[in-house]
Amino acid sequence: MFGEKAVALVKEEHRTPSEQLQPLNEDLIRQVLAEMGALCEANKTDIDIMRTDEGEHEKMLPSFLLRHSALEHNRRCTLAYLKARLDRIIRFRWDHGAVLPEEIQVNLQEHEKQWFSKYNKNLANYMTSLHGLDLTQNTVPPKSLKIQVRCLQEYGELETESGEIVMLTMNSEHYLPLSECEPLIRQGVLQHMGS
Amino acid sequence: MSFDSQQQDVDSVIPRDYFSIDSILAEQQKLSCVLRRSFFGLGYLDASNSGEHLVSGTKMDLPLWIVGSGLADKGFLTCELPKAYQEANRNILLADSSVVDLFKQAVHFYGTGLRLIKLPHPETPYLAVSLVKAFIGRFKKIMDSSQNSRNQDLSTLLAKLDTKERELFELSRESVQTLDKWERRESNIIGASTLVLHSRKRKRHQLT
Repeated sequence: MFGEKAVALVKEEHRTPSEQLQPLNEDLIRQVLAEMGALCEANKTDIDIMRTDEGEHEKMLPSFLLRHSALEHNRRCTLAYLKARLDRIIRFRWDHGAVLPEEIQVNLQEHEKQWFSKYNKNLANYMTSLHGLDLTQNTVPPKSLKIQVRCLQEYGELETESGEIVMLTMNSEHYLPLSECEPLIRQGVLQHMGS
Repeated sequence: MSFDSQQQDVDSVIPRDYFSIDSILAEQQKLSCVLRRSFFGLGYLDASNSGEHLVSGTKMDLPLWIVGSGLADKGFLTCELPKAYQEANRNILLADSSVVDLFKQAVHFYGTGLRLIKLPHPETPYLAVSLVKAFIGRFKKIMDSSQNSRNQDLSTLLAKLDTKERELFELSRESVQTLDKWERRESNIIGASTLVLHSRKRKRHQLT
């Protein structure tokens, strides 16, 4: 039956856990496009016959429409697959930050990498136009300007906005501005200590 | 109101659920069909057919996305509703929908059902009513268990819900967890991203 490869694409995306990104299945996409090419050719041939007379038109219409619905279906599945991947990447951006972990980056296809870089640029431009309001910050309602954090990695030096240099070593604890810490907490470098 | 009519126009060009994976999967449901016209040149679609064409009168299973694409509307084929949506099952649902294992009957029970009622089939009005009643009968249990059973094992209940109900269940459970967090005064604690959390979990597993 037509459309089975296209559905396989969709199912692959559906099955992927929310914190992962599979490599783009270019091979399967190529197979779907090949099926669409064949359907298109068959329909083009039929169109020429159908144009000749009313009888032929009626005769070929059922097959023609079935192939056409398969073309529409394949297109829908492929687009949904590609869009779901982009939506996933956007979620990672807002959840994690502009620099994605290695295991995610390695599975971005070349065009997706370029798209992501453009997305980041657009987001940065937009936030600048809002007088520097960082929309990706304050993911939870903040209670204070400064927070207590513990460092979970050997990170090294951190220069704060005020020019202070803080040394982030394993298990060191600090009392720092929320805005400086939030990106590092989300990336797993720091841990927010409760009050 | 003008709001509504604007959305309706947009929907006729691109349906709201065009990119929805659940919607695509729901339309995979196979229906038992009888062809009422001949489909020339497509004989290879039917495994049991040896000819070049699909002749009128052939019985075959076709996915819902083909049947609902206009072939049924134009009378090129007729179809039967899947078992889960036929009268016998509708009566079971009417009796007590809250105990039925919907997932077993149809993974995307409501998604497929909503698509089925658009087909030119005589039972669709009854099916439409049945879908609403089934949902109403099950809704209370879903909301109740997702909000009031903090630590119990709900996997047996969850296994009987279809995909839309599971989504609802998760939304409800999440909202209760958020409220709990707030009551514990933890709602201002910033957490690591899900990517980091899962990578930590993976590393822990690798060490053990």
